[in-house]
Amino acid sequence: MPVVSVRLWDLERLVGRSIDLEELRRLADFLKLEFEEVRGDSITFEAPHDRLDLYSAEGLARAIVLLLGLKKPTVYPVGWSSIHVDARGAPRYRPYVMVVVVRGVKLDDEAISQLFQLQEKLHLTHCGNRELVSIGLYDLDTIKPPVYYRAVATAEFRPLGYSTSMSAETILETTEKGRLYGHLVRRGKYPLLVDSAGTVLSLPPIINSEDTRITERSRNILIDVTGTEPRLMASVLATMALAVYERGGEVIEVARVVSREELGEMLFSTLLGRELIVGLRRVENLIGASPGLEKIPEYLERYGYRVLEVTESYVKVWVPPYRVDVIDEDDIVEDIAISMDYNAIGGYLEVPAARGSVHPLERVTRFVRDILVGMGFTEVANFILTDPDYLTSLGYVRFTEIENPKMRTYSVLRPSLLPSVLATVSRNVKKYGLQDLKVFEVGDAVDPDNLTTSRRVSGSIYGSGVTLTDGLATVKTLLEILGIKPVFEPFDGLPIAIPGRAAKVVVKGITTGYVGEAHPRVLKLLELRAPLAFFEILISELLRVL
Amino acid sequence: MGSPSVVKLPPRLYDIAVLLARFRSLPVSELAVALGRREQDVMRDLAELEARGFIRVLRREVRVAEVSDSGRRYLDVGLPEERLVEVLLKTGRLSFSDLRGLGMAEDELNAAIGILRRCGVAEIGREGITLKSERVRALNEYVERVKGRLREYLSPREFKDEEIDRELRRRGLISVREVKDLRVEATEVLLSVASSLTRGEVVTVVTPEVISLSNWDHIEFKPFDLSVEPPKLRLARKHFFVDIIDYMREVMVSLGFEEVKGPHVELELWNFDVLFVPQYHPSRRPTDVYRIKGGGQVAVLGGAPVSLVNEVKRYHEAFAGYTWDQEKALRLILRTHCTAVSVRTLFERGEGEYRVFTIDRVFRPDTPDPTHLMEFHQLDGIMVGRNISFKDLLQFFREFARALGLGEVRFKPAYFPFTEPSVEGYVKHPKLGWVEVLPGGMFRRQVLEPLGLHGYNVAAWGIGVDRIAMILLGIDDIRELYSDDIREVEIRRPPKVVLGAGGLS
Repeated sequence: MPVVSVRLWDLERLVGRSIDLEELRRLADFLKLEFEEVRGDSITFEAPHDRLDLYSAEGLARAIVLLLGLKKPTVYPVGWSSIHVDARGAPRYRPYVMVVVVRGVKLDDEAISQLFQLQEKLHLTHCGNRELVSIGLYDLDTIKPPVYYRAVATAEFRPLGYSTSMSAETILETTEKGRLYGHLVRRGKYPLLVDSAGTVLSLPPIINSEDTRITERSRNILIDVTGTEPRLMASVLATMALAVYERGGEVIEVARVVSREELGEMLFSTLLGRELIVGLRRVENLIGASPGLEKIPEYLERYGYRVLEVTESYVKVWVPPYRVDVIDEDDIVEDIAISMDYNAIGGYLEVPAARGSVHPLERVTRFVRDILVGMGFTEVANFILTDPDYLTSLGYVRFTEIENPKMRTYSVLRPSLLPSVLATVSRNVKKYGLQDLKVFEVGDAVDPDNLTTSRRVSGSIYGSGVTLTDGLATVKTLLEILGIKPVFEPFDGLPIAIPGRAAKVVVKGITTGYVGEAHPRVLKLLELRAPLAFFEILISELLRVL
Repeated sequence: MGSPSVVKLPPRLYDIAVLLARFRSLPVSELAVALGRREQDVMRDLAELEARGFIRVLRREVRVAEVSDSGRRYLDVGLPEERLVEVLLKTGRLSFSDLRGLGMAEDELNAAIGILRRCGVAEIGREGITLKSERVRALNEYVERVKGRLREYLSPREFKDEEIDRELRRRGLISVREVKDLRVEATEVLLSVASSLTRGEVVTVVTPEVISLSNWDHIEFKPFDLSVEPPKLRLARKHFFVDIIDYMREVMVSLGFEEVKGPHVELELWNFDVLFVPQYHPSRRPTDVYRIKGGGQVAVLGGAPVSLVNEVKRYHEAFAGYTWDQEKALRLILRTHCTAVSVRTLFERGEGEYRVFTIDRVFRPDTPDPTHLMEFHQLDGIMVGRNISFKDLLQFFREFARALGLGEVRFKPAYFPFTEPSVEGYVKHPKLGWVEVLPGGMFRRQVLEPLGLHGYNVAAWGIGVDRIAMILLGIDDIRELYSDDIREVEIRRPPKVVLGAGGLS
């Protein structure tokens, strides 16, 4: 979830009255904001991923104004711009562009840093880290329209934050943004946004030019998005434009896109907002309670919806263009539920006539645990993620590997519980100087061949005089209590066992596990000084024969 | 303690009392020998008799003498003066050179000559030593006295400090050391009841012989001292965390839920796409999801049903507004939540009225520390039905928290890509304050419709099992839950609520 910082004075300026922290915390719950830190005038919070509009002070202030009932929701002054953007030469791999102009804004340091924060957070979330969408903001008064979006073989301009002009190649190689996002453009087919005088606006999605940057003196702002996903572009650009508009904007103008008229149309329609019908039966059905017709219009307005029509069965609302998170009426139902206060919604949970049940695997697991404890085994718990070097040292060659592990010691999935159990014996014997020890674990392992999970129980008997017989006796006793008569067949496939001292556990022709006596090589590796018998039973397989 | 005419004592105490009534006073060492027991074993009985006022235990310092090594040898081969006289009796006289030829050590020889002279048995002149045979008897008496007393000291005993004892000490025939002497003596009380002492049977352990008696009146069962800490036993036990998970399972079943299971290695399709998490969503990045190396083994996990894949594509493109990529959905990962199991179940069972849950492990890239693990547990569940509502979800959370003794639940609005409305439930942790443990919501239509559910509501949640277990066990470090330390397993107390003590509520 994006972490956003705002300044209280800026927020108060935008809201138009003072706000104390207590009040802000209360309002934050309505907006799903999680306060992370309040330091002096600076407030840091986590915004919900879907509320793009709350990634900066402008949108947060707008939401607060509405929640407090200081203003009623209104439509925005959206029109067509006389400026157009020509996308005829757009690169095929990043073919779309949208441009909007917001006129009459008043900016200062804080406003600019808020808008950049919004741009940055949008890039990280809904823009797919600039791969799907990238945003640029420019001072319109430094640009000579129309604007061209096209692929160029090369380009030369002063990148944002640099004093000298550079070639596109140099920008990619030497600037920080170039190195981060260079992989998103193709050499010799650079996407470029340039004006009719040849002034470069930006090399999207990498960097803007210094010549068109916005400053405290900028009054009219041109914003573009380029990318591969028009609907995401429209949502992101609408969010950005409406935030800029909150800084004293007078009018929002959509640029027509030459050769791709539909892109301009899509943005225009997004900025107009939508109408949605919320059925009252749906409110009751989904929430399980209803605040009633008299409350719903007020609740909706405080969430920024304009109530267009109220009937006995539905409410028709206008969804503001910055609420790109609203997909269907259920999103609006949630806002109603929040207004009702979740803590006030309650009642009786009906227990159904159908009985609940424990999964058969877990039922057998319970018996297995009880029986083994009865035989003097102590239960332990280990991770499924384990260390490949340890498995290899025991002789395991096949196990499932993680492509992006954080630590090598937890980078593969155990193919069996036995390695975990053996490590447990070693650790405890060393730690407590034990002469003998009986432990077991019930848990899951992942088959490296078919990647399925299997439920297993594995145990070991350690101590002077222990032989394979101790393992066989344990398994036989365990299985017979479960009503199963095991047959032990010679088994040579266990690298851990002494040759001739291992057995397959066969039940009705199905191999359900194995028993063995650890080879001295393994005991030495585990720094153990007495013999050890072990077993592993696949409970998943047992279920098939029970 | 029996009637006044009969003083009944437990057998061991009786034996001691009888001995002391006869001898009045004895060193503890001798008493032990007489009883055929070890001294340290007798001490406890003496303490008991002293407490009853029958005896006094006296501690004093004494000198104990014992034959020295040379003393032992002389008892064997004869004292030096004895041997010298023997030679003189044959020869009458010996020159100094003869004396040296006898093979006796210088100091031995000097001592022997000195004693012979003292007893007047020999005359020492210039040419040597001459026996005065009429005086030999005096010497023999001396020798007998010395050897007689020396034999008394063959086993260590108190140094008598008479002239002869001092002589032995001077001559180095005995060694004397200071020791602490422990002796006991009978008190007037014991002497006055001595005639009425009776030996009682005291039973510590009930044996077959005891059981076979027909009358147990004369037996004294040794009363046990309850202030003595009983020994602790080693025990084999089930693991505390597995037990808590099993308890949660029990709670779910009691609320009418059926348990289901699903794979740990999962397709992104079930973990994310079916849940309407856009493919560009940050939670799908490699920093947040473990990917399986290799991959390409989709079929083994039940594959990706074509109809479902098509529907998922349609819904993502229509409602999330981007081009959906099947390749990404077919990547293999370790499931990041058990909600994958819930949606698999919905696909399998479709429409209807049912409740299922799963409680199992999930994985997220992390480095272990007190509050993070790369592998932990979730309890995911769904309630499916035409009229299942958000209210039912909130009520379920309240019931679940009550059953686990977690007390009051507070709800706050939350965001999850796959639910609307969404909620986070908080319970109070004694140290950490309100902690979030109950996240859930109503599955979106964009989740349900591709799975084949139309006109049905599904309440869903994914409860953090580990955090609740930590609250119940009073653990601050999540790593302690996955303990393979047998002592930890042995001593960990089950939470009150699992014991049935009602927990905190």
